[in-house]
Amino acid sequence: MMDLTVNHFMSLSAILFTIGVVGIFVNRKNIIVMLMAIELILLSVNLNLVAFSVFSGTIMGQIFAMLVLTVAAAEAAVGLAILVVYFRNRGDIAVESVDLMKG
Amino acid sequence: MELIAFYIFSVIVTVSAVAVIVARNPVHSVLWLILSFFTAAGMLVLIGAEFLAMLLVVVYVGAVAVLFLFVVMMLDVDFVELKQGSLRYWPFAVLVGIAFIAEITLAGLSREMGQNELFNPMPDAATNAEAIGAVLYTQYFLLFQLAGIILLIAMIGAIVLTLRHRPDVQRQNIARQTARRRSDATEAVSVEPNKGI
Amino acid sequence: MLSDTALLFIVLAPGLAALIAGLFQRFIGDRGAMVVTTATVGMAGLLSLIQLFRFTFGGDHGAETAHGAEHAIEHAGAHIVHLMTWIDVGQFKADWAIRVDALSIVMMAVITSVSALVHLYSWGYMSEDPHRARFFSYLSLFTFTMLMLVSADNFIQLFFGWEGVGLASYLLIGFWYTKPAPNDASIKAFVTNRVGDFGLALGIMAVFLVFGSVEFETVLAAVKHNDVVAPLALAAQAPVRDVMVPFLWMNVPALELIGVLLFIGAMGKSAQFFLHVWLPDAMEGPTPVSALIHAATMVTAGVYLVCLVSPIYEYAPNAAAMIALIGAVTAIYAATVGMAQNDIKRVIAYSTCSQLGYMFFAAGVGAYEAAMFHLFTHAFFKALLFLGAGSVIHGSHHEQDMRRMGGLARLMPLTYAAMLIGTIAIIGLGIPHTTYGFSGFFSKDAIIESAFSASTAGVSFSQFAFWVGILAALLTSFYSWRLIYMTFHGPRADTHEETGHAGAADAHDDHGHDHHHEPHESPWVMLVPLALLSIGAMFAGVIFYDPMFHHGDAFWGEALYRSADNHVIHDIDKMKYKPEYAWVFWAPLFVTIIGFLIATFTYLFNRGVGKRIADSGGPLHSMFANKWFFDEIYNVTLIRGARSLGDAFWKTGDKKIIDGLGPDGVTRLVRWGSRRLSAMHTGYLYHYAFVIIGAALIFGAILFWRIGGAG
Repeated sequence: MMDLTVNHFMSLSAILFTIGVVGIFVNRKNIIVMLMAIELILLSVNLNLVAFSVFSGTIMGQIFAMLVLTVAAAEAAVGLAILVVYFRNRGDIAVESVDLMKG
Repeated sequence: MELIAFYIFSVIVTVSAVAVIVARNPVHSVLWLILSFFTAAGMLVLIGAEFLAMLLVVVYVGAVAVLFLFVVMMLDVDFVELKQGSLRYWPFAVLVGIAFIAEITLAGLSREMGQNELFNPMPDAATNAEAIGAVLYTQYFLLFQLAGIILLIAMIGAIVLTLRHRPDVQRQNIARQTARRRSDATEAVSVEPNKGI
Repeated sequence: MLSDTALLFIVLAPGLAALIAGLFQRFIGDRGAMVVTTATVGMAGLLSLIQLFRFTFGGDHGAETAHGAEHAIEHAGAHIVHLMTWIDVGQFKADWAIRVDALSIVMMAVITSVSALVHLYSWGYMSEDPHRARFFSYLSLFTFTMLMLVSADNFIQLFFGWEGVGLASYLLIGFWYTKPAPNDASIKAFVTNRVGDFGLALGIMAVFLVFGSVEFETVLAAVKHNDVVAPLALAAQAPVRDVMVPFLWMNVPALELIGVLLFIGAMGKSAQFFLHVWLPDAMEGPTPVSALIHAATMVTAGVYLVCLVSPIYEYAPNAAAMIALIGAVTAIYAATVGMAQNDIKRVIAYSTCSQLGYMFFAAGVGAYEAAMFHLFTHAFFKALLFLGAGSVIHGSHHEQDMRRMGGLARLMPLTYAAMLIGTIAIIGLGIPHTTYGFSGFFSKDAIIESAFSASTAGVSFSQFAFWVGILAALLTSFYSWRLIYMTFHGPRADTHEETGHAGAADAHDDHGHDHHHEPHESPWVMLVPLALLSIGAMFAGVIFYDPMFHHGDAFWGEALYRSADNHVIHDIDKMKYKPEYAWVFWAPLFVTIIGFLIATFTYLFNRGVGKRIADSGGPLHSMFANKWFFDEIYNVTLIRGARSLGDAFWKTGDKKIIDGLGPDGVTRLVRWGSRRLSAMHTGYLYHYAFVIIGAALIFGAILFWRIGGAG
């Protein structure tokens, strides 16, 4: 049996990242799921960072992961606030009709 | 031993990630997201970063995912209609996904296999929390404060965006109340007998 | 001789007067402007006439004057009054100076006296024009620049004067600039002159190239003494008469080149054939302008130039031949066209053109004295004719078409007398071998005799010139008498009712009385100049024949130069009393009388004949009346050609290419690009997300290529 190496975590992280990207491309109509896909991406990055930190013996990766976490939380909050306001004004969250900023 | 646990966890996380994006009901998506968060936390515990794992649970699951749930349930949207026609987006998306995987793989392969040690978290530090704390409040103090400010701004932003005054709800204006003087509220009138005001 | 102060006054005071009249009209009023300019120019005229007479008859060509030797004009050279250094760059030196020799004395006398009389005349002619002050200012400006021209001591000051008179001519022709015709005419005059000026400028440059100096004293002395010169940019040193310079693809003798180029300038200024097209149109200007500029002075600047550089032409036989040819052709051409014109001023204009042709062919065959003498007399009688015509026009309320005139002799007797004198002068009535004759007789016959004498000596084109001179004399007589008969004799023409104020329209409308007033005599301010000019027309020839022509050497001295083999004028004396040459001396009189008879027959006795010939519209008449279609030819070839070239450069070159690639093109490109780019902003959130991810992909790839590959 192999030992657990950093490569395992890297591959896992890559897969999760890709799933998140695909999720953005697929859910173009549903903003909430798009935001969730973004959270997936952030999660994969966090995982990667911590894995690097542990396997390299430095603590910096985990500090970085904490900060990423902070930002992810802030972004989710503001994004959802915008969504709520948008919904209040328009009544639905179909992204395709949001072309008011066209041109 | 850890390897097996790793594989189990990774399978769960991948499956739930996929489920997040393909689920029809967004509430289901959120729940699947929560599951993936939990599993990720588990993986973190596996490699010894338990403080971070708990942080993940508390912040991501406890705050972000719950927030998602609130919003999903609050918005009265017809999600079935939204899912229409999503099939034709898949090929392009898969293409992009493959591109990303390829790129990351190439990048990963080209890197030097550094220290291939097994997880060996700070042997000299007692716990993960201690290790983090040792640096966070000293060397990276500024970053810590900045993170706090970011959260503050996000909070204010969220409030500012969504705040609205309902016209038919009575609210107190404390400033006005405390600025009120006797001359605004009362008026001394000298009343003639038999005359009234 | 006159003192330097007087000379300075003569040349510079008119300029000052022009400035005062032009700039301070508001303070001194129209009257003040008129008085200042007329008085100044009058004073200058008086002084220069005194100078002329003293020079001619004073007998003190030598050193014994009251002012001492330095004020005398020696035969050896000219008297130069240095004013101010202008250009002094390396070898190139040009100063403001007044150079006085016989040539410039004569020119100054002519210019100032005629100008003074024209100034006086304009008091009457322009009496109702609201812009009188500007007019007088321009007249004085012209006088000033013309004087600068003739008193120049170097080519550059000459060029200044040359351009200055061109400017004054433009301003004066287009004096009534609110109307389209004068505007077009003034531009035509200026542009045609410019073509000539191009030649002149090249000539001056050639002079500097060959001689290393532009000062007359240096240049002319070098030619006379055949000095060795070292032309700039050419290696060889050689006696100047043998120097060859490269011109276009050829190697030509330097003096020939300079001669031809300077003559081209003269062609433009003096309205010779090919560059004559502006002179008839210049009649759009007020008549005093025509009298001063286009009869007596500006157009003679070309003759002055040719005579001034006579040393060069003496050693440039081909250039001289060209001058003779073109002069002769002009003389005959203008005479034919003048015969068929109906506008009184145009007839006189073509007559001027023809007489200038005489002067040039005289210079071309080597008889410079004859040319200058004719210039001198011609100034008087031509100015007289023009001012007389102006009097006619003024009196008939601006009618200029001779077909609508007639029978004015009774109504304007004094004008009639003046015109008669002028006509007799121009046709050259006189008795050969005697001193009885009007001035034109002496000078024109002098030219014709010179041409004949040159033909015996074998000078190129001189025989052609001689016969042209004879024929043109016939035509001159014819059209001059035609003018007199049509204007002054015969029945009164149609009344003004139909014609109204046709012709040139001055600011002069009714004089307060009604339109159909009879033509009347002009006021005394206009008649006095006529009288004075008549005196000149009658007697100038007699008085100056001997000094200027017959024994010209003493008079002209070094001013006009003749090479050793040029005996053209001397030979005339030899031929005078030989019977086989007698016909030469009587022929001009003979043809003059023939012309007179023809005119009398067709215009006086059988009055309708002339009209019928004109109306029949035969090809010859059409050719003459339409000036041999010169304007039309120029229009089709040069003007359309230049126009389309200009259009091509403008529309294609400038607009399409330069603007298209430059400002407009860049603008269009930016606009197009921006539109394309802004199309990327679809407004759809997911598009933006895609772009972000795509960019991340690309940047990652770039980074990978740059940094990766290490393992």
